[in-house]
Order: sequence, then C-alpha cells, then structure tokens
Amino acid sequence: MSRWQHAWYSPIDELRPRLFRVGLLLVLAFDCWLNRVPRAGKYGAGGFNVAHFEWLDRIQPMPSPGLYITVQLVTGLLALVAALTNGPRWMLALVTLGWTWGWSMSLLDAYQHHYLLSLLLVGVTLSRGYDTPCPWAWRLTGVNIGIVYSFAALTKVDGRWLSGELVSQGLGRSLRWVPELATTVGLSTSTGWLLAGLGACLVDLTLGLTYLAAPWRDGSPRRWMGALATIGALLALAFHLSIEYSGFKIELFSTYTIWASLCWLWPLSWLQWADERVRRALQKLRFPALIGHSGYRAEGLLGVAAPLVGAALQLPGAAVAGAITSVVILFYPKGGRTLLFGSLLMWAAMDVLQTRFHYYRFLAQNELRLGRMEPALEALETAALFGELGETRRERLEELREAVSTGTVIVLPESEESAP
Amino acid sequence: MRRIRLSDLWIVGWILFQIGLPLSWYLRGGGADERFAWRMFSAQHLTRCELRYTERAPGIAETTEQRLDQLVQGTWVKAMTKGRPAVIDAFLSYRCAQGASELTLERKCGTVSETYRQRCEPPP
Repeated sequence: MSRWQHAWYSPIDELRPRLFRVGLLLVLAFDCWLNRVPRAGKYGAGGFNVAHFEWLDRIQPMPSPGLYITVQLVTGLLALVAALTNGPRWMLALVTLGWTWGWSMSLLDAYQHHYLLSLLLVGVTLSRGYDTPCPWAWRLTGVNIGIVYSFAALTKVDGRWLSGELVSQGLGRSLRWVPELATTVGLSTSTGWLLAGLGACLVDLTLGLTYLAAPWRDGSPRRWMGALATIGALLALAFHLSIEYSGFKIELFSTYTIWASLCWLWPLSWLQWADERVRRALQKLRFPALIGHSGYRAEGLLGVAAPLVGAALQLPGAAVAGAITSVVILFYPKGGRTLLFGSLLMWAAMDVLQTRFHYYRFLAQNELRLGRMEPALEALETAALFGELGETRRERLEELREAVSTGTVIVLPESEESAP
Repeated sequence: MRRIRLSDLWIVGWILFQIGLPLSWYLRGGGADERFAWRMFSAQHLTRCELRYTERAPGIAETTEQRLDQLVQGTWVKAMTKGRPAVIDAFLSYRCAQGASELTLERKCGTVSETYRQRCEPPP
C-alpha cells in the first residue's frame, strides 16, 4: 500500500463519523426551525434581492418568506430524519443542497459559518459509506476544518489586531471581561488587549494545525499527535465557550465548533465510553422503538402527517414544506415514523420558543420601516396570536390601526429597533 | 502501478479549492467582499462606516437625501455600509428601476470616503 493510499484510505473507526453526523444534523434541524425561520420576513421585501452568486440570481425565483420557510423546514425535517435513522447518502445530499440554497439565495444571510456548515455537510454526505464510513472523505473534512482555522489565524496577522487595538475598539463591548481579568491578575488594560489579540491568533493557528493532524491520530504510533489533539480539544472548548460567554451574535456557531472538536479531537476511548452510556439511556427510554421502523413499507405513509402539522403552524410555506418531505419519505419508508415524530417535535419546539411570534413581529417591523402600514398591522396582529405583545408593542398596534384607518404613515426614527 | 481513482482527484481538487478560494482574496489585494476568505473579525469587518444617499427624480432639478432603511430592508443597508460591491450595484440599479434619474451614494469610513454615482437610463 503506497503512502498516499495508506494516508487516505486506511480504515477508520465508525464512531467519530457517526457521532459527528448525528450531532451536526440534529443541531442543524433546530437551527433551521428556530434560528432561520424568524428571519424569513426580510426575504424579497420590496422586490429587492442579491444572491451570493450571480448565476443563482438568474435561475432562482425572487426569494420570499414562504420560499425561505419552505426551504428551512424541509432541510430541518430531512436532517432530523437522516440523523435518527442513519439516513442514506441521497438524503444527506438533499440536506446539503437545502441548507446551501438557504443561505446562498440571498446576501441577507452573510454568516460565514453557514458556508462552513455547507462544507461540513458535503464531508458528512461523502463520509456516509454503505456499511462502513468512507475514510478519505472523513479525513478530508478534518483537513478542511484545519484550513479554515489556519485562514482565520492569517486574518489576525495584522499589526492592529496583534497589538490589541482592533480587539479593544471593535469587540471591546463584548469583551469587557478582558480588561477586568487583566486588572485582576495585575496587568495593565492595554496588556490585556494585546494578550487577547495575540492569544486569539495563536489559538486559531494551533487549532488549524491540530485539525490538519487529527484525522491520522487514531492508531498512530506518534504519541505527540494524541497529545496535540487533546490540547486542541481543550483549547477549542475554552476558546468557543469564551466567545459564547462574550455574547457575540453568532447563533449556534459555538455549538457546531465544540461538537466538531469533541468528535475529532477527543480520545476515541472517551467517545466510546460516552456513546455506550447514551445508547443504554436511550434504550431504557425505548427511544429506538418510538422512532424505529417496523419493516412495513406502508410506514412511509405516516409522513402524510407532515403537511398537516405544517398547515397547523400557520406560517407561509410550512404546509408546502410538509408536503415535500412527505413525498420524499415515500422513497424512504423507513423514515415515515421518524418524520411524524420530527414534525411534532418541530411544532412543539417552535411553539415553546415562540418562533412564529418572532417571525411575525420581525415581519411587522420590516413592513413598518418600509412604510407599508397594512401588511405591518396584519403581521403584528398575527404575532399577537402567538405571544404576548407587551406594552410597547400594544401601543404600536394601536398606532398602526389608527394609521391604517386614517391612511397615514408612521415614520420610525433611524435607530429604532425595539418595536414591534 | 495503481490507477488514479476519482476520489484521489476529488481529494486534491477539494484541498486546492479550499486553499485557493480564500487565498484569492489576498491575491486580489483585499477588498470589501471578504466572503469565503474566513476573515472573521477582520479589520475591514470592525471598521465603522456611514452612508449618505441622495437621489433626483426625473424632471426635478434638486436632489433629495433619502433614508436608506425606508427604501430597502435594514440588512441591505448594513451590507452597503460594509461596502459590499454587489449589493451597492444592485441597489443603484433597483432605484433606477423604481424611477429615480440620478443617484449618489457616499460611504465614509473615518477619514476615507468613496462615492458611487449613477445616471439612470430613461425608460424606453
């Protein structure tokens, strides 16, 4: 076996790819339902849109809240089914396609980690072999993460960043704990910022190198690889938790990166131990029986419940999303019961976390700002069906009713973001 | 000698693509569009800028200053504040299509400012 062949094609343990795939898809499902859907009101407002790629603008319809919600709900439901039933490669490809179209349809979504997730999903799709994971695809995904961290480090090789100037000016409000910590340990504030800037760059660089080496650590006689991975795992945990603690608005980015670090960098024996315990706990709860497959092809028909749940959500595009997933599941009857479970879970999660309330209040805010009083009123009245408006929004609702009845326009001050 | 597999080509191609795409931003000499270059928290990203937009309607001599957030959704305004060229170009074309005849968008970042001007083609 040549060195190239050994490096990319030698067998790997199935646990790391499986854990990564399941965790990534589960988080992705909730990300689609709970984080993406409330932002749907922005899409196509005023008939203006710019996609991430010029060619996409030419072939796709003008995005709209309905289209965006359909894409997000379908992607989320298929991700959940694929995660819980060890879904086939074609289903993972659909999830990858759905997620990628979701962010690339508009520059309204400019989160870089959404692009990173697309790359990870490509890796997950290719790593999903028939019986055993595909070793080269798994290793390539690790290398890909290493490249991303390395470029993130390169961004910070900048005099203003390394001196701490940019960190204090641009991120100072979020990183208030840096000068406080510096003072506590007897350092000056400027030294604190300098260490924060330099530290972030070094952490990115170390994590880059760690991920580049990680795919070859299991079974390697080189002990330094295991040590580097463990140091990287601890660094990744501390780094991403500190980012989370600082309150940056980066949605679930830290969750994804911490999960990746657990699956790639933690010792295999630790993962085996945790996997065993989780499996036993799920067996005790009879979870596999709840979502499993009885062997009857007719179970695929259970997916017909998805459009009903979608219709009950009272969101544009939700019933269509349910219909699309129920058709997809006819080609994968094994996922029928899981789709039913997933649809109900989606409905419950969106209800508890008031996703519909947030969608309609954001929509009202957009319409109001663009001077469209009637749609703004309609959206705010619908929001009131799904959550408590509070005093400020109730006042806004009254103002809107009056504006619509008198044909006047409410002009918001430029900085106003709070209501509706 | 072993035949080259499709997966071998994919591995090499993917690594080159993943290095080449962000590297192309540096080779272009930077710029406001930092997508796909993994420039999280970059100097560009952290620089604060302001926009001023004026437009002239057909047949009217004077230009009037317009509030951008009343013309397009707020996220587009943020994208233009960051200097996203594709969004600025699309916005100017959009306003022309909405009936404006002359547009000026000024973007000021500290002491540096840039101005985008567009004269709209009259509708046929």
